[in-house]
Amino acid sequence: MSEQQHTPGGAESSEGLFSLVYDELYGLAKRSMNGQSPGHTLQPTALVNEAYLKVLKSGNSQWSNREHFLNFAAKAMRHVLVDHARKKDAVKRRSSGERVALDQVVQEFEKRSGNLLALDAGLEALANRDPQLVTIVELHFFGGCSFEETASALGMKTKEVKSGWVFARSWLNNHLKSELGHKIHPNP
Amino acid sequence: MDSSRWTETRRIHGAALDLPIDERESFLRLECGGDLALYNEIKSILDAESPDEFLQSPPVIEAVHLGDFDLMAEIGSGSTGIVYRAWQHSLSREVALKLLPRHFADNKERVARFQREARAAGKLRHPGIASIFGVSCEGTSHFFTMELIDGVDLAAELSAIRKGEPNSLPEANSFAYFDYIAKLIKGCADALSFAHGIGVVHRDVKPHNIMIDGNGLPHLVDFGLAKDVALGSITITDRVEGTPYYMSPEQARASQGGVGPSTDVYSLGAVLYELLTLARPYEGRTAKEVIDKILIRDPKPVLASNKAVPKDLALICGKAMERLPEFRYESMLAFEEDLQRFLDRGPILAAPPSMRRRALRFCKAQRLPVSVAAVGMFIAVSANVAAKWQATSHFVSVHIQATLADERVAVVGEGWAYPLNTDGFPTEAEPVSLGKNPFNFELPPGTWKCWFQAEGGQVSELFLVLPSGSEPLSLTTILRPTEEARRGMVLVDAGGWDANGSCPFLAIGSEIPPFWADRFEVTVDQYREFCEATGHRTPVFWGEVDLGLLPGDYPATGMTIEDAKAYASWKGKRLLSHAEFDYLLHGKMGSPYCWGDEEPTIEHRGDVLRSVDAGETLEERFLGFLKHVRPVGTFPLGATPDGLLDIGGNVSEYLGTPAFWGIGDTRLTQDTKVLEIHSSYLEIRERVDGRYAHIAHSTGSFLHIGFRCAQTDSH
Repeated sequence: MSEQQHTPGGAESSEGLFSLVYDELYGLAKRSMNGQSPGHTLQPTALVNEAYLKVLKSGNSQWSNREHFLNFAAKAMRHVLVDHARKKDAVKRRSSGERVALDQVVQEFEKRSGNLLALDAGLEALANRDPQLVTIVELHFFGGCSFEETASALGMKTKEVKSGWVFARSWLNNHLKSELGHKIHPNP
Repeated sequence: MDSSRWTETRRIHGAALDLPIDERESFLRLECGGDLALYNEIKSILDAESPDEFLQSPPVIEAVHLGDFDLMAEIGSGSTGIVYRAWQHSLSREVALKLLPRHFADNKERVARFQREARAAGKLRHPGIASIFGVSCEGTSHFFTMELIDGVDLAAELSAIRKGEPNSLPEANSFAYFDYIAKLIKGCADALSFAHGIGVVHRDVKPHNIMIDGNGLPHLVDFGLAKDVALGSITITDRVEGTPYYMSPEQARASQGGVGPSTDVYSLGAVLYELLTLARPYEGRTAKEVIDKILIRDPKPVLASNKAVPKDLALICGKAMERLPEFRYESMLAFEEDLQRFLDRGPILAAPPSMRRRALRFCKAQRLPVSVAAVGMFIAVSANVAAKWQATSHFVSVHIQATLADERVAVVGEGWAYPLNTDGFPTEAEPVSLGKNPFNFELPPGTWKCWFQAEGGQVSELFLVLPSGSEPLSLTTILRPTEEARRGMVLVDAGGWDANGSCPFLAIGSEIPPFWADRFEVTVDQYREFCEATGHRTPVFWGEVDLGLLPGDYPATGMTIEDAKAYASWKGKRLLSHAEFDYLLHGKMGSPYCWGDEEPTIEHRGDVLRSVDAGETLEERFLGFLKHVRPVGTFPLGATPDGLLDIGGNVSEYLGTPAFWGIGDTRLTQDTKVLEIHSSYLEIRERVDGRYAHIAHSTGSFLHIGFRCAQTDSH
């Protein structure tokens, strides 16, 4: 990643920043979905933006670069959601307000992606072949970034991002289908 | 997968995506060379590019307030945006608000389309069409507001009916149900007819876009793909997109400019079809699969799916869904009126298709297709002869006048008809005497080989392919001395060979009698001589290119299969049967290639495939054709053991008997479809048990399909 200079502490520090973003997003997602009317649409970009503002306010100078932040935020979004989906799968859900709120977020995403755990596994498989495509999917799908934002976050041309996206989407679609043997996402 | 291979995969995939759907296949084959694994990998990725919402980002909105409006709940999504129930403060009313997803906000095509929808729909004031109130933009959010229809869409109702859940429609298959859906579709037809009247074609008619209000009345929504004739079209409008299930064939083909009001007639017919049978006309795992089926197959007849459907309603549905626009209702109004006649219990206009119309559909000479799609074993599918193939007792009347070539007068002679199985193998049944010239006879439906002989020994031969229910047929045939007819031909002794075990697509047949076949494909010069002698039309493209560039010894192409048959008949001959062709392709021993076991090279079969992809315009394709097609007989390495050239190379070839070939690798059964033409394998990578199947999408004319003649040795 070209923005390595923002994380002078290396991997450990990146790890730390990641969990910071993760916690922030997790909390935001839960809060933002609470009290919203059913059928309301999730706004991942709004979440990410809000998280960014909070982190900025906290005075953490390492986040001065928004593009850099987006990379982490999108990854964090992915992990928040997949984590939650996994817990939902593993444990019988207790009736907790927070849980239910995040369930809604997962549900919103799964409308577009099918089972998030399957998508996560698909992304892992894709990462073995082409990690950059995974980052594009994270930014565009989980982070809700436009192609332009994604391109600037990755230092790529918009056109490259778009074609990478089309490929990644088809590849994943195909991968998930062949993994599950059937189409896991609903027909439009 | 190593990284260079991955890069290659991505490169080819990206390049294929830039091509129209029907050109991707041939491009892919070309690019992948003989690398089947690479081909399969990329093909499955391409096929997975469906138009659904997989991974499309959840819509992003800046605020729940958009100007005068409060968004309350998402109530649906259309082709261009998400629809919300919204509250309009200034007028204290509820409206439907359609918002362009923000990730499209900087996509000019999408924004233009979104605005076009608002403008097109804004012109429409009709009780069956949701009215548009206004168009607006707040920040980067483009949206428009419209009448809020309090109800459910027809797709949800259909799903409820299928699952046996409560719904607002009368009980399925009751009288009331059929009357209700006739009224419902009539209501839609009325609204669409109104729209057509002021120049707006919806182009995306489907259950999802038909809202049913509390009174059970339909309202059309989502003019997102609408084409306003007055506003002109935008390039994207001609691209295949949206849910494919209800697309008309011309839409699926993405034919430029060919998508008019009759495309709505088709799609509304498809909705009626689903209401009648509770099944979509075509199903498929991917959009591409659905589109392929729309292009080449007829849906299962309504009455075959649901016997309870009133026959007239089934006929109305069939007429609306005719594959060729000219056979559909001439207008949405005519469709609407026929539904009214049904409701009035009066005689309807729609009638089972006549033979003449079937024949027209069958051999309608179309202009050269925008792109010549498939490569390999070409099979163009006859549109609708399908279900008519089930054996019935209706005999077909045939009138044949035999004349001599040099005298052009009727001669005394005899004629016989030999029954063939569907692949052109002789059957055990006895031949039928056809009486004396002129021959007037009746035959049961099926495939027949007719043979005529004059007292002077001149002969002619032709295949009769008779679907049941055919209208009387009238033909002439020209008898020629055998020594004249067989000039340039080679005797092929196929004795002892049958297809049992050799080809999974061929029915098990008896031996093929020895036959003569042209050593070369019919050339441009030969075909020109025929046109000049008989006044027969020349291939369409001859009139549109610099014909001085076309060498006379090139194989003649660009004609329809009917033209090819006419040429053969003029020569006192016929085309090859499917069985004969397969024998020539694989020989007695069932070799992989017509020349034996040796893997193919350009020296064996040429490189005509490249011409298929030569360009967008006719001129470009013609130049590609000149560059990559070769004069007949150029590839001696590709000769069959009998010395026939180009059977497995240079251009593809039309055949004279239908063949029941699979779509993909599934064999069709007799009651599904009759496939009329196919040809030699240009493309030999896709092996299906040693055979190569591919499907062409039209019975039109192609720059890369020619033909050769054949004649049975003796009877």
